[in-house]
Order: sequence, then C-alpha cells, then structure tokens
Amino acid sequence: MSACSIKVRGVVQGVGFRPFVFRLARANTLAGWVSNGEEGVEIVLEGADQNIETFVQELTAAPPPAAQITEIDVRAISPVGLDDFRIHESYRRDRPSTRISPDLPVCEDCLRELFDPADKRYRYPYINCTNCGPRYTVVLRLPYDRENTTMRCWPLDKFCAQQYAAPWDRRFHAQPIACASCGPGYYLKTGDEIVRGNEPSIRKTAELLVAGKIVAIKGLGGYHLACDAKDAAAVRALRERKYRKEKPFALMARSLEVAREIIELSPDSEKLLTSVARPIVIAPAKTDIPGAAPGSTELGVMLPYTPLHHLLFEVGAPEVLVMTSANRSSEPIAYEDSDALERLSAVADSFLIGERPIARRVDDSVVRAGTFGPVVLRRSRGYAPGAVTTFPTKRPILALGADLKNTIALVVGGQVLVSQHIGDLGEYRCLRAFHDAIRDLVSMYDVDWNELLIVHDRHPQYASTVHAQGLRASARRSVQHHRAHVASVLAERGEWEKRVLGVSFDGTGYGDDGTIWGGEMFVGSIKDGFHRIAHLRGAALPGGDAAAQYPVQAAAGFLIQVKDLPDLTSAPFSFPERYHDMQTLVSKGIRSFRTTSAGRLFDAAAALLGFTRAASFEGQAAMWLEQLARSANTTDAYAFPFDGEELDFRPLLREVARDRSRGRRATEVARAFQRGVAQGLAAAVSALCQANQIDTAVLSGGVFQNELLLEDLHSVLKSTSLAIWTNHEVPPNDGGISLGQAALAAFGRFDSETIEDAYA
Amino acid sequence: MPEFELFGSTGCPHTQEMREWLEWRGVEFVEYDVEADQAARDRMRALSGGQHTIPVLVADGKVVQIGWQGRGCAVSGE
Repeated sequence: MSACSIKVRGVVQGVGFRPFVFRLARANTLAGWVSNGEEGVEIVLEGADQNIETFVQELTAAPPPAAQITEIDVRAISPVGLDDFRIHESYRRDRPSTRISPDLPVCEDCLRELFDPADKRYRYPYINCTNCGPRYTVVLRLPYDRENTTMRCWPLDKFCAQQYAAPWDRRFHAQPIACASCGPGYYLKTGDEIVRGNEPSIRKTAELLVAGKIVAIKGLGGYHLACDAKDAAAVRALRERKYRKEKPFALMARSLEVAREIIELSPDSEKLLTSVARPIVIAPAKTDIPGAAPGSTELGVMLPYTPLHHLLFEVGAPEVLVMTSANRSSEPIAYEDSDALERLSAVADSFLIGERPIARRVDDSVVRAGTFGPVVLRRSRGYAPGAVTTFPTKRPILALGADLKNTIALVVGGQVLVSQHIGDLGEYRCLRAFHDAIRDLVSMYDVDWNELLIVHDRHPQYASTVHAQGLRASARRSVQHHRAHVASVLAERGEWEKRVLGVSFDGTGYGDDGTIWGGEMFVGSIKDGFHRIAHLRGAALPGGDAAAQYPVQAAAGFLIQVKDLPDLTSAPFSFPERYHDMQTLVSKGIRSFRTTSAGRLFDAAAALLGFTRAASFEGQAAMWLEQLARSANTTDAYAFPFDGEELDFRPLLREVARDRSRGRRATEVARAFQRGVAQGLAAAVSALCQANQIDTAVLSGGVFQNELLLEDLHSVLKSTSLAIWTNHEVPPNDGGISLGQAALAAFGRFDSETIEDAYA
Repeated sequence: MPEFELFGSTGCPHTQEMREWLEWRGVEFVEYDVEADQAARDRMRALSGGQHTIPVLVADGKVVQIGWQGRGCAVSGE
C-alpha cells in the first residue's frame, strides 16, 4: 500500500479530464480523489504500487482527445486510508450558498404533463419539478430539503421517490414534488358543505365563478379573492364586501391572447407579463371592465402561474378573473386557512382550500414598462427573496425600511436580500407581519443578532424605528429617508463611487431638520454620502403627515403663500369647510408643520382641480391627477421657476387656480401643471449638474411612479447629455427604502447624529 | 449513474447555483467554462440546438436542463 500526489498541467480542465481520471482510478482499484486546482488537475492516489504505476502510464498514453498534457509531477505521500475514489470540486462547500429561490411559475414540461391523460400527474394541481413551482412560500428553514419545507407531512410514494432519487430526472431532488396518490389536494368549502377531490372541487369553483360568486382561492403566497371580471355585479359586490372603494383590482387573463384583448401590450410589457416572476403588469386598458379600476385608464393584468390556475381556466372559469389579495382593505393578505376562513367569511361565498401550507405570505408583484425601463411598483412573489445586488462588505446588516409599503433588507456575506412587500406598518396585522419577516429572514440565513448592524429611518416615531430599539444588535443607526431613496438606485447598479445629482420627490419623510421633506435634491455618492443642495420651496402643512389623506389640507398650507387667488369655496373649486379651518390652523401656527413635499404639491393641485374629498388609499389624488392629465393634449406648461436653491411652486399653483376659475378644462390644466413640474425640475437638474460637474441624475421616490411625469422629463432631458437613472429592481416608492438604507450603512454613511442623540 | 456535464461560466450566478446544487446532492460532474473554452462552447451549442443560455446540464450526451430554475445568463461570442 502506497500513495502519491500527481499534478498534471496543460490543457486538462474543461475537457472531460476528471471523469477520465475517475474511470481510470476505478479500473485500477485505486482510492483517492481528483480536483481542479489553480494550476491544473491534482490527483491523489492510494493503492498497490503496481496499480499506481499502470495508472500513470495509461494517463499519459491515452488521455481524452482534447487534453494536452505538458507536465506531470508525481510525488510520494503517506497513505491515510482512503476507501473510495471521488471527484472533488475545487469550490466544494459544506452546503450550498444560502440563497432561496423565489417562487416559479409552472413550466412548459409540467404543463404538458398536467394535461396529458397518460401522465401520472394528469390534472394534479400541485405538479412541479426542479424548474418550477413553489420555493420561498414553502421553505421553512435552510438547507432547502423536503423535511424543511411545508411538504414534510407528505412522504413520497414509490413513483415520486424514484424520480426524486434519479439524477437524470427533471424531479431529481425537487423538494416540493408530489402526485395525486401521495400529495396534498384541494377541496371546496361553502358554509358547512364540502366538495372533496381535486377534479370535483376545481370544476365546482369554475361553475361558481361563472355564476357570479366570489371564491377565495388558495394560491402560492396567500389567498386570492376571485370573481368574473366581466360580471359587474360580482365586481361591485366584491368591492362592497372588501371595503375597498376605489383601489384597482388585479386581473388574471386566461392566456396571453386574452391579455392582449384587454390591455395594450408593448413588446416590453409583454416581456414582463411572461417573465419568470409572472407579475401583475400595469398597461393601458383596451376594454372597459366596470369596477376593476375606477377612474383609471389602465388595468393590472397577470397570467396564470400555478397549475391550479391553468386547471381552473381549462374547466371553464371566466377568461378574465378579478384576482385580488384576500384581505380586507389595507390588511395583509391571508395565508393561513383558519385565518382566511375567519377574516373572509363575510367576503367570499366559497373557499377553494389547498392542503399544502404556505410558509409565509407573499403578495403578487406589480410592474410596468416605463419610459426609463421597467418599474417595479411592488416587489414580492417571483422576485423575493432573490438577491438584488452584492455589497463589498462582510458585516451583516438588517435594514428595516420605511413605515409605508414596507420591505426589509438583509445583507449577509455581501449578498443583499430584499424581503417581499410587507405593507403599511400603521396597520396592526401588517406590523405583526413585519415582526415575523424580520425573525424569519434573520433566522433563515443564520445571522448572529450580536453581529448585526440595524439601520432604520430617521423618523423617531416610525413603528420600524421604535421596533429597531427593541432588537438585539451590535449597533443601531439611522439613515435619512430621501438619501435612502437616491442610494437605492445606485445600489441596484453597484455604483458606490459614482457622484450624482439625486432627486427624491415623494410624499413624506423625516428630514435632517425635523421637518417633513419630500422635494429634495442632493449631490454625492453612496461612498461619500449625500449633501442636500436644493429643494422645493417650503410650505406649511396643517395636520402633518395626516394631511396625506385630505388634499384640501395640503392645499390650505401651500395656497396661503399664493396671492390673488379666486374664491375657492365657490364653483368650480367648491372647497369644503375644512379648507378654511386648516388655513386658520396655519395662520395661528397650530399643528402646522413645515414641508418641502412634492407629493403634497400634487395633492394641492388635485384639490384645485376637483379632488376635494378624502383619499381612500395612499397616493390616490396624485394618480387621479395623472389620469386627468393623460386625457388632454395641450402643449403649454405652467411656470415652476428655480433660483438655484428652491423650486418655487407659487406661480405654478397660481396659474392652476387662475385657469381653472376662467373655465379652462380640468384635463388641460392638469396637463399644463404636470408639464410645468417636469420642465421646472428638468431645468433645476440641468443647472445643478452643470454647476457641480455631474453627468448623471438619479430619480427616486413615490412621485416618480407617475409615468406621465417621467415621459415629460424624458422629452425635455433627452436633448441634453445627462444620463437619467431610475429604479429597476426595487420600487421607486418606499418599498425601495430598505435597499438604500442598507447601501448607505454598508459604507458607514449614517445620519450625522442618531435619534437618541437628537432627543437626549 | 450517467456521466454529467455542466456547461456554464465562472461569473454566472445561475451556474453557481446549479453547481452547488449538484455538489450538495453528491452528483459527480465535469464543468466547462464556455466563456474561456471555445471547444466547450461549440459543443454546448451543438448539443442544445444553438442556444445561448447557461447553465446547461447534460447527462450522457443529452441535454437535461437549460438554465437554473427558469433563469440563466446569455453567453456572447461565436
């Protein structure tokens, strides 16, 4: 018994050399291993002297055709008693890197089997394979093995087990696989009546939908509430029961052809619609679907992504379904059966319940193809928890995001993982979901709390900030809201050192000076931090952040600075009493806060154009204004001058009020307002870039969800040499804040003083 | 056990994930870097019908999987 180490140099990698070595060693009954090293192939052999000699001879005599051996170095080493010959990978690890795949839509192969009568999984609603199916929504903990998924309660039968064990099979180690004889199934519950069996329950569901009923359907990351989208009475009933007055409903079209009939699909939109994340895509509506998206000229449509969806359409469900997250207004999506049955009993007529548990709630993602590329409005199913980018840091960082449209981000081993959409933390159930998501992500990736750097918003009263104080951590720091917005765009691109002009226009965020920011311009980079150099002219905001719900409240604060206004309580303005009450607050300085928020400027304009009621969801007035402007084709723009430090809204609002009182159509006034904002901003961007020798401007913040504003900015700025960067991976709204916080934290660019210091 | 070949590249994260998955499952395979190895790239193209997406997993000379979980990188070059 002896042993040797052989180093082979030449063209020996990527030419089938290791399998050749493997077979040769086995043929000569030798133990040991072979691996690709930095300089060539390294072989260790143990066995009889004679066999080692034969091995070396044959290695040089008949190597694989493409191999060119230039040098062989054989050295004797002492044997350690190896009992087998193996191929070692040079980068072998203890376990795969701890990345969890986002959920995947059913693949072509599985779809074919789903509708093939000869297949074992014919019409089985949980069919999946290595290339498709649930991932993030079934993983309980790592490593990703069946016993660590929600499929652990269903042992594989012989058929499935064979496929699971066969390396050449599409289902080799596909953790969630099952078939009708060994796996979970669906059943339909209507009151106390239960229809069992996959086929009968799915057929009955399709019949109920055709009959105009509302059915709660369990999907990948939670329940959907479904009804026939073209049945106006059903859609109306769903709105009433869900307490969702006006916010658009998502639709699911049976096929791409059906989708093409209801929305205008550009090639870019179509690419998004059929992409592996299968998101909801927002596009211009081609047909009117009453009640689906009141007051909007756009619809949000997705394609079927689970086998169950395909089966439902195949057995006759209406070709366009409303598929909205199963919750009551502003609550998180229901994902546990008992919770769904309890919370939705007054909303859904029936429940199509799947037996496979959902590990965590994940909503559908929402995207659009925009002027500057894809815009993610809600990053969730199909994207989360995929790594967004990598940071050059080893320190684990947890960024808690903002309170609205919350997401959290975890940086582990330099990989940046952004959570699914969690929601508005002001809602108790969402706050609970936020706590769960933090625990879930940190434990899943095995991060030590004692090493964790926790980053939160600067706002001292944010629920996320308050929660940060109670978490174990090595350090806790804050990052200002709008700097995080700007950083999120650069982080997506891995641009740490790029010096840019960052524009952050959004509804609200806590500023360095404690006032409400939202119309900010910065110069700097992630590495050096961002310095505020300009902003929207300040206004008073009676009621503070609560004013977001009442555009008239914002109008009261902004318009008090505008001279020569017509009487706003009479037609066509007809402002309610609240307007004067609020102006009284402002003039007396009671409960009035200083703001530079661009979102509130849009609210003030919306109020002047007729949106004088309360908004029923966040950002509604601004969306309403955009829709209004879209239907006009005027080319003028109101003045929005920039003096080097401030964008002055007074001429802008004065002209809105003046034209409106003269009887100009609201659509045209809205258009001229929007174009005015774009031109004023573009002029400010150009001037500041030139003055600071910057060639790139970054746009982020909720206001930049306004596609018309982006189109106008594009048409003004395209003649300049400026590059304009926007978000593509994370939302421009507060869903992107966690990524920006993490990026600035990775480079130590925190706020200059912590909240604790400021309040000490 | 068939003979497995993985066509990918060092910079492609999807190749990395497929590699780690195979390793974790104890599957023996040979990996080719199609960006560095022209001959391997040609062979991958020939086996997979001229397509450009990596990773590609081949068992006994037959393509069993293209891409990793629906995602992949495009390889440029002839």
